[in-house]
Amino acid sequence: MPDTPTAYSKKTFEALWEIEKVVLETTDFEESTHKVVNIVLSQLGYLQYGYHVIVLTLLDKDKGELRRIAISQTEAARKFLEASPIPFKDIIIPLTDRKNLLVRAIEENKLQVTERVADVLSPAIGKEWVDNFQQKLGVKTSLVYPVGSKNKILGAMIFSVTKNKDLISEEEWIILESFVGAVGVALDNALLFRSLKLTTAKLDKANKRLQELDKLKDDFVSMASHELRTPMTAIKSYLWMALNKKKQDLTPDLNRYIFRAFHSTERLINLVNDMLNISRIESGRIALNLAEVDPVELVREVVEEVIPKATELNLNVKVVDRQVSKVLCDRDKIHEVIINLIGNSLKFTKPQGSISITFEEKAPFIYVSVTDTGVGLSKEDMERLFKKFTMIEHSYTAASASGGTGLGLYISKSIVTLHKGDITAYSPGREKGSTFTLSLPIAGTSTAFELIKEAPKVTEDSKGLEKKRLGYI
Amino acid sequence: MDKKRILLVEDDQYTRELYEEVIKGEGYALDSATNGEEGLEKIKSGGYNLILLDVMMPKMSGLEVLRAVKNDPPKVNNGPIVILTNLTNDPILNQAYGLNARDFVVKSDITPGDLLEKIKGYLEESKSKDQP
Repeated sequence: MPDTPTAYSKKTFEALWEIEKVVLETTDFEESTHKVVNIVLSQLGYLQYGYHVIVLTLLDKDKGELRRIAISQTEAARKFLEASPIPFKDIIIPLTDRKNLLVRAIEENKLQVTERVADVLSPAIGKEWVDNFQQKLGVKTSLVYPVGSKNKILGAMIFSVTKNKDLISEEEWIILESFVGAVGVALDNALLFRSLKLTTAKLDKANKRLQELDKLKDDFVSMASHELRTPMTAIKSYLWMALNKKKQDLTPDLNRYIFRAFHSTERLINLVNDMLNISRIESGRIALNLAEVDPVELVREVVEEVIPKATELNLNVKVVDRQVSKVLCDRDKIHEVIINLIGNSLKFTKPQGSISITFEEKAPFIYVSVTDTGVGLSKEDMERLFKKFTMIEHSYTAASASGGTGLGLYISKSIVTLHKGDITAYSPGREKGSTFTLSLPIAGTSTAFELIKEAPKVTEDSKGLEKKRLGYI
Repeated sequence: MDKKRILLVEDDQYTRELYEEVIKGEGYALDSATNGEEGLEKIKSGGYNLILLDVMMPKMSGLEVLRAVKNDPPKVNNGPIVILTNLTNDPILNQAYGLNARDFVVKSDITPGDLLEKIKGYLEESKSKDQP
């Protein structure tokens, strides 16, 4: 033995460490298998012990075969690659060939030893050719190890040596086994990584496609809505003309028919706007322009806008003022949400009723509650409320007359959810009024920071929200 | 006082004829064009107190008209150009501002009555600008 056992062990340790590094650092399957095979040889200077060729083969259970995936970069290996009648990657052994020692090593999960290299190459390459070539290389023994990890066989490894089996020392056997074990882990990781990479690539592709489809859908909805608006404009405008003709007196019936037709076009336009909004929210085209906003001030602003409508409906709207922290939100979009909530209360509260807006601070959120003395909600209503096209049955007539689309709460909730907040509904029961509570993160809290990080950013594709017109709440 | 001159460029026949009726009914002198190309010709001749310009039109879009006017301003001045459209929240509209559009109005959002009020507003605004 040219080395003392201690030096040997040290090198073994180093080589195993090298393999470990490859396992940890190299993510490419091909690269990592090649590196592992070469480490066994070159890092250890194993040539001096007669190890001339090391080959790693991979088990493909689906195809029922063993394929060569890596070979050592040694002189002997180079010669073999040059002379081989078929390319290295095409040396494929069917699992049905039980005479082949690779197959047997895998089947028996046990080391196989042979003096004939042909035992590991046949039937892919003819025995005669291999016997002949083996002579030239001076290979005397080939060791075939099953390679695996966690009770799972992944392939087999061949060590071709220029000495007789008897000359392999006790320590060499131990080293070989350690190598094979390490290679097993490396191979397992490399395979896992490769499958992960393939899956990721597939998911990436699918994701891109979905984004494209979303964009197409949004473009289609945008285009369709434009096309819809043209005839709707004409219908609405001509109906308006009929209602506003000074000289012509409409009979009360005709006036009612035309007024309702006119009103329905408003509802249709609201519906188109809401569908545009939903399409934008769902395709991620709604960006948030975040700013620190005083929620009380924002609510006062909205209330001022709705006062004329409330007065017309004989409803009292009051803001229960108090000092609260500022919230982080997109002012315009939350404005629309509050309009929607107050608008719903206006819609579903009978004359002489009242609507009050209160504030509560409970970090990290400010809670804005809109409470009315209106028609209220049943338990089932509360569950269905935030779904698309939900209109509560008993209030359907009211919704129809007031231009409701059944999409408002869904959109509002989507917008607030983008803000990391929520909208909840509560009612003691039908005819007992209801409370809608909106929560928004207080500026400066960790929730607000998360919002800054995760909020949809403005891109060239982003668009704003279509606004509800107050006259038709 | 002379009648204010307004140019309406709108391809949809029903919408155009309705707006013509309403605007003329209010006592303005109205010219109209049915596509962008025709509209640009009239804008070039100049002398309008207000131009109402649709965006999506055959032959030449409202945006192309704006661009042509910006690159080669007419010898006789015009009043403001207001975009009259049914596109909403479209990036095109931001471009229109860069091309000197004064404002944009979403047709489906307004009634003919609203349009007349807006026209009055634009005309008063440009009048006060002319005579500081």
